[in-house]
Amino acid sequence: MTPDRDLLDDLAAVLDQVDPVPPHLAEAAAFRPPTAFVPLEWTTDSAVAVPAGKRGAGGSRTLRFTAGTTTVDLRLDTVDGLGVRALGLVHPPRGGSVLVSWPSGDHVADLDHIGWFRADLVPPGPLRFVVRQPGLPDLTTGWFVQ
Amino acid sequence: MEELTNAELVVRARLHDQAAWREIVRRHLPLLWSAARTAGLREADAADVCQYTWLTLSESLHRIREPAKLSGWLITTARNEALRVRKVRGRELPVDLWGPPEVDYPGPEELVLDSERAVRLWRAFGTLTDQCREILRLVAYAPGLSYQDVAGAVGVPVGNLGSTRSRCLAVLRRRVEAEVSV
Repeated sequence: MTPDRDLLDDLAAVLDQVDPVPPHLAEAAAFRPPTAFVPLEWTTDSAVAVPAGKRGAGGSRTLRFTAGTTTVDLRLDTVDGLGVRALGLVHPPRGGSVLVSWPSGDHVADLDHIGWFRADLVPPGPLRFVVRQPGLPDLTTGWFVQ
Repeated sequence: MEELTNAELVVRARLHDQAAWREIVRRHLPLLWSAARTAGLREADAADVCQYTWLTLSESLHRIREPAKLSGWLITTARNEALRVRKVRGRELPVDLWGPPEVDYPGPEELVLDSERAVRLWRAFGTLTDQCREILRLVAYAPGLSYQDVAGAVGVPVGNLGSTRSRCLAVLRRRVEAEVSV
């Protein structure tokens, strides 16, 4: 053992006491078989860069994803203590639905004739959206934390 | 499982070997937690980032080109999402877990520490720069982590990591000792 390693081991012991890893996190890390969804590409995220001329409107987060000719716009609002409200637009409109997933469940929202969908009050935390349109591969945003 | 390398664990986990997956989680959870907490997230958000990282790994296991670099991949994935979440939560009040400790009376962290030396170490750690705290926290938990993994995760050039790490440790040691002489 070097003196440096001793000091680092002491530091690890202190961190374990002051800021321990919550025990439930190991159980929450269950393996999920991979899916065959086609990943959408992240185009914009207001959390990272607010588009010119816009100043963070309220607590809303807006995201845009694309794949080929398809564009998916999301607006997410976190409602304190209740959950996340999602409003989305899939363009061009082709019908179908959007599967909204979180670690312990999911919800299917239909796409209307314009391409809108909404999901009210899903749990905050990791979320994933999958766009399912007839005759096309399923497109996914991948997981992200809201 | 403990004797297997990360690359071997990835190969097994791809075949849905649950024990290999659990070993990957056991080996890396403290690192992911550290990466999220050092990025300034409160506990609930740090927990979400850890869970996000495992979900993303499940989905990406077959696409990881260099399984031997699993540790670096996991830490970078967690850190990037933690920084994004910090921006999402930007409108909320920051939680300054790592700010300078109060000098006159013990903070809540110090009440859980069981020795005077531990308290000194914690106080001295709190006076380091963000970068030093980030580097030391990772190498404290994962002695086997390569310089390349740590450098990639904290965003410093790999050529500078060795000297930065040594400097951070030297400052920490000096400040722990200074606390004794006060």
